[in-house]
Amino acid sequence: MSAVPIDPTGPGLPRAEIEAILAGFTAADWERAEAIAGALCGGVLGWTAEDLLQEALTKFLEGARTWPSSVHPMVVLKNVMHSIASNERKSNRASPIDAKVEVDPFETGEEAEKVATVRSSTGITPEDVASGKQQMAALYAALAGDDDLQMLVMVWADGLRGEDARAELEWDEKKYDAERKRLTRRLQKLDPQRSQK
Amino acid sequence: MTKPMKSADEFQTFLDSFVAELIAMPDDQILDAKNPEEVRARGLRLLEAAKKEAGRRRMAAAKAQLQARKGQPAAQDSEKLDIAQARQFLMQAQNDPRFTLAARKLGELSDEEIIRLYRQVKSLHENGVEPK
Repeated sequence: MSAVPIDPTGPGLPRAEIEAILAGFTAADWERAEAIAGALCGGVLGWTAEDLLQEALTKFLEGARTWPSSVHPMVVLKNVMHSIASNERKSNRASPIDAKVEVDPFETGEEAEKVATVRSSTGITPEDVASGKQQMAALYAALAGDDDLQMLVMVWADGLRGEDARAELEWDEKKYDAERKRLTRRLQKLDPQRSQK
Repeated sequence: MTKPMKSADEFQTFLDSFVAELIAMPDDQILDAKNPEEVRARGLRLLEAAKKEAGRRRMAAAKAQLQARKGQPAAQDSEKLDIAQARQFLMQAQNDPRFTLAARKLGELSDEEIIRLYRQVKSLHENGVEPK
């Protein structure tokens, strides 16, 4: 389990403290951060997971992004990398938000055709939803032929985790751990241009 | 078991679950057969590169800010005029034969009037007014 400490006080950390947290990352923490970057950099033209992670670190250290002290560092990194990747997709026109693209309902759920009418009270725009569906479709496509990993992605996308996810999949602990590890590896190695195919 | 409500953004929900699972995973599972020292060294190299790039960007931003300040009109500087300095300047100007300033009145003038007077005298100075 990640050993990175969480300080429950204060809204944003000074640069020196951010540097100290990052310098204190264990090897496993760097692997975690890179796995998150791998899952997020799909469709960002010319960016590898390392590029995305480094850009996130740079933005914190230059003061362009704040590091909330009450949030787990992996969640902080995920949020910022998600935002950077999303902005890059939009700016380099590699965005999956394309009215001409037909999203396969089989891979994205029966709600796919309702994307344009979605209005959320949580700040998620229809564009975000469309982008998310495209990312999910790309992810399923990248894992095509591997039913176990697709099933695992599906239950996580449903919001189930840990024991709940394992029960839903009817897997024992050993299999769940093995597939989770395998999915992490696959996400780290996924082709960043997977959304372009 | 009750399934959570299906989120509008499936990918966001997937990411949240993935990150939660990563945090919960034991380090040895995360690292698998990888050499921890090599992995950490690679991470620290990324951090060093990010530090350099952040320093470069901060420097570029500071230079741009400085450049922008240089480009501001002189009037902007006078907005930040120190009242004490303006009074001091006018006190000295009383001894300048080119200007007629009633010394006794300087102390009675408001800050706003001091600034207006300071600008007038300064302007005359800069336009090279001949002594009386």
